[in-house]
Amino acid sequence: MVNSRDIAEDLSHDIFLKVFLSLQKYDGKASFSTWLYRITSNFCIDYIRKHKRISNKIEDYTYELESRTEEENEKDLLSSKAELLARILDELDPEDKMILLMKYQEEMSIKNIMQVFDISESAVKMRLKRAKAKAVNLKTEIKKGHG
Amino acid sequence: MDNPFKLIKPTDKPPENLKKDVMESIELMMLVVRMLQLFMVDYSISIPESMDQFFRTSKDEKHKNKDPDKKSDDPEK
Repeated sequence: MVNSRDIAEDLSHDIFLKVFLSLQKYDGKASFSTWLYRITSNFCIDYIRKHKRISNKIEDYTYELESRTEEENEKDLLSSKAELLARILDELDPEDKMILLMKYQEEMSIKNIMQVFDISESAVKMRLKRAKAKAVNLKTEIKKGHG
Repeated sequence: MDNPFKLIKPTDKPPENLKKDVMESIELMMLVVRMLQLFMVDYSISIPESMDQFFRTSKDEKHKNKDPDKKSDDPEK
């Protein structure tokens, strides 16, 4: 998420301390791993927001590809080369990156993602759809840049 | 077709000293909490007790003021 091993180690240390201090708040409604994901994702997103300047390029995109179906965007994204995908994810908003990684890397269910972000099922699906559309837009932009 | 998300998944393990650092920080934190507990008054316990004591005392005072002539139960008095 943070693209630096040193920062990742520092964040891991702080996250474990936070987990230790928050153990009393764990109510057992979600699985422990989901709860851990929730703390970790919130911590990392806060850190990235504070320390990383997110490219304005993302905000400027018009969703010309939103007319495409979600399946088409998904297929396009999953057919990307690993290096290109890594670059796309690096450019994406941390929340979009996080939700895509949860869905396609960790293969988490919609229910688990709901618990991590504390949002409804429809909100998860909408965020996923938008994240995929943004990623596909970025892919097109990067390819244009190279071409 | 391979999932490219799986291909970019980091496989390296966290360094060994991370666990040691975390445990040291937790031990330090526990020590600070215990020291604080040792030297600080637990108001959650002391406030209700003192309030109870206060009201009991003031109630007794009122009773005394209401019946100033009331003799004590002590037969000698």
